[in-house]
Amino acid sequence: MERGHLLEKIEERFRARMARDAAFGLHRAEPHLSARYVITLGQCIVFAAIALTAAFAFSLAGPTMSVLTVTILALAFLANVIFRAALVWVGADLGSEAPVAANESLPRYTIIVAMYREANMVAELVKALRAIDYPVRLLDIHLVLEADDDETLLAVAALKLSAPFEVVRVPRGAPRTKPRACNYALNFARGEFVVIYDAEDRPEPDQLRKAVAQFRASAPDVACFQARLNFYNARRNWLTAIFSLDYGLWFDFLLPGLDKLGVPMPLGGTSNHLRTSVLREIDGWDPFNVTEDADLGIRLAEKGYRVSILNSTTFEEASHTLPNWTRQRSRWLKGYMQTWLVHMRNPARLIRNVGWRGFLAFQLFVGGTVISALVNPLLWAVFLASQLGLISISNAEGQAAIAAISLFTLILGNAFFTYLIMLGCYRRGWLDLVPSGLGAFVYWGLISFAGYRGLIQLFTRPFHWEKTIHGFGDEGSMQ
Amino acid sequence: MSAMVMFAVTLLVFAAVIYRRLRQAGFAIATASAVTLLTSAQAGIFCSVGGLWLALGVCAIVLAAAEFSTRDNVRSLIALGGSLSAIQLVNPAGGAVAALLLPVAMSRTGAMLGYGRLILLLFAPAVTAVLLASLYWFFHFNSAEIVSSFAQPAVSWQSAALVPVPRYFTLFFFLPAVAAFAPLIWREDRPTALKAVFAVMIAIVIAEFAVSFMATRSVALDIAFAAPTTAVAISCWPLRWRKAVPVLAVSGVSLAASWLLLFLG
Repeated sequence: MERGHLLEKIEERFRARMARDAAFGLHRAEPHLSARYVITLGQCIVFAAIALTAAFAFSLAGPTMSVLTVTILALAFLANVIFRAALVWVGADLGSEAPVAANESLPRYTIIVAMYREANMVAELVKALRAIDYPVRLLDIHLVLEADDDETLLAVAALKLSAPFEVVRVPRGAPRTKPRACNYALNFARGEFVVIYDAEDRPEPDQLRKAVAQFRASAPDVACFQARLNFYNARRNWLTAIFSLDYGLWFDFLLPGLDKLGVPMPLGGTSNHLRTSVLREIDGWDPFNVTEDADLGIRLAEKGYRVSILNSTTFEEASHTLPNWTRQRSRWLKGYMQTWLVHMRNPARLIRNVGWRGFLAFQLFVGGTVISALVNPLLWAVFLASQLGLISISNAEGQAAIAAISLFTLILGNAFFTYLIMLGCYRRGWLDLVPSGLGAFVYWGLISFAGYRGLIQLFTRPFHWEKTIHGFGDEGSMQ
Repeated sequence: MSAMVMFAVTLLVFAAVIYRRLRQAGFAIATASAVTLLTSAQAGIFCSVGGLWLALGVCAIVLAAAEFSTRDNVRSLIALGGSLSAIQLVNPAGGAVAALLLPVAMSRTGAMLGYGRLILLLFAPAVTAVLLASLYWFFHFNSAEIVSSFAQPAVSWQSAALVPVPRYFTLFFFLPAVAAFAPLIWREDRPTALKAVFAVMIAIVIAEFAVSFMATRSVALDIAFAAPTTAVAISCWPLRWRKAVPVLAVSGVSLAASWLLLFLG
């Protein structure tokens, strides 16, 4: 019997069970690590206690509490920015060029690409995957499509793909998220390693060989390599340019910085190269987390595994319109909130698993990303309100202190953020993008808007996967 | 901490930085130690804690500029921008003008390319200038005043260095450093790092001269520039030149000239 037919038979027989496991496997095995429930009762009690204590303190000593609150917000805001600056310094070390594995040492490699309503991307995707420099007989490529996504299914069928391409149809079910689709596809993965790509990805052709060489050279506890990401349409408009700077900062400096420090690293959305056995051992991705990649990085650290950076780039398509960008960023920030809430259900366990350094880095990086997005407009509001006389507290010195603290934090925070984001292009030498970074304070405003949108969605539609639309074209050039 | 202890600690830090640089450049322990001693004994360094801090700041700038011109990476860029920001805390007006002039001077020597790097290099010093101006405007905070309060003589003979000098005299304080740039004249394959250090010196000379029109300056703060510039310039010499005799001769002449200028001033 051919492999294709065999797979069909297996799928027919076990479809319902595999779909159930894809959605609820992690929650069944380790409910405390699943984002199925946004917030636990214990967390509700802690948050309520903090709110009540603050309200009580405000009623007793309003002016002092006002200054204290602004100071705490400012410190949280600056801590994140300063930690990022430190990461840039640590991560700036270029390191050595990644070696490329020779043919004789290559294992079978699984590529999973989950797609939904992306018929327009199929041809380009197949072209990019065919450009990968890896023996075809050792590739195991799964195009993972939702069973009711007729449009994309038809587009794939029209290409009449043969091995190593296989189409996996994910049965309808909730939550309809990428991690659920990936979990389902993981059942069919045959490779020693597995990598996740998005439909619009263009990995560098030798990326799989580099990943194999890195896995072979590293200790068994290195479970994942995150390739660097950037955009092939960075120069399309201001938004794509600054988004590219942002990505450059994230993948060329911040994540390598976390790698060097040996602390938990939230993975980026694509090009995560994993040991298949480890991925199965930890029950795959969390289908209820809308940044399942970030969560996976932290979960791996909690399980004693390490994540490292692969010196190879996957080029993606940057959202070039504001609504599309906002949807994507809202989802990311909502996912970071989910990730923080999940791993902070039991802080003592987190400290035990990742150590004090890892715990602190998690607070500053994952928590700090959310805090800086949410606090930035608050500080602007406090400063403007204090200048317009809208904040009236009996203590004049307190009022001046609030204005001074918020202004100082805003100048320093925005200056640091602008500088760091402009540095994002340096490793690639894309210095023509630097002037776009001067508008970083506007970009931060957009991030804050997306942050509040994500916060609202966290309670109204926690598992809703806001689809980023791709396939606008890149004027045909890899920049 | 007493002024004397602060002075001794800062001097040790300065000497350690210079010694490390010279050793990294391949100088023998004896030569590196001798140059470090001759540099640390310069009049500008011995004048006051304020002058010594300024020397340390200039030292950071020239080291970062030399590094940036030879290894174009993020760390050296941050170090150069950061040191140009830090120097403004000691010498606000001079530091800001020098930061503005440096890219021009570096471009002239071929050590600076493109507007992207220019923005990245000037961003941190520009923000520092704005921040210091805001602090002065809103809160009457003047970092230079705080520094000058430290720039009191640690020992009685240092008081000679606090005498205000005429503005043209600023230029003479850089004369001791000139010999250290001889390879730029005598060699065709001029070392890039040395060109960058030279660019820093040019920027500082112009800035200091410009600033001397705005305010009366004391010898203590002006004379301190030459020592680190000379030592780092020597560390950038071509390999063939890095022999004990010329190195010690230049350091010795520089030392003698610095004290002579101090008392002439």
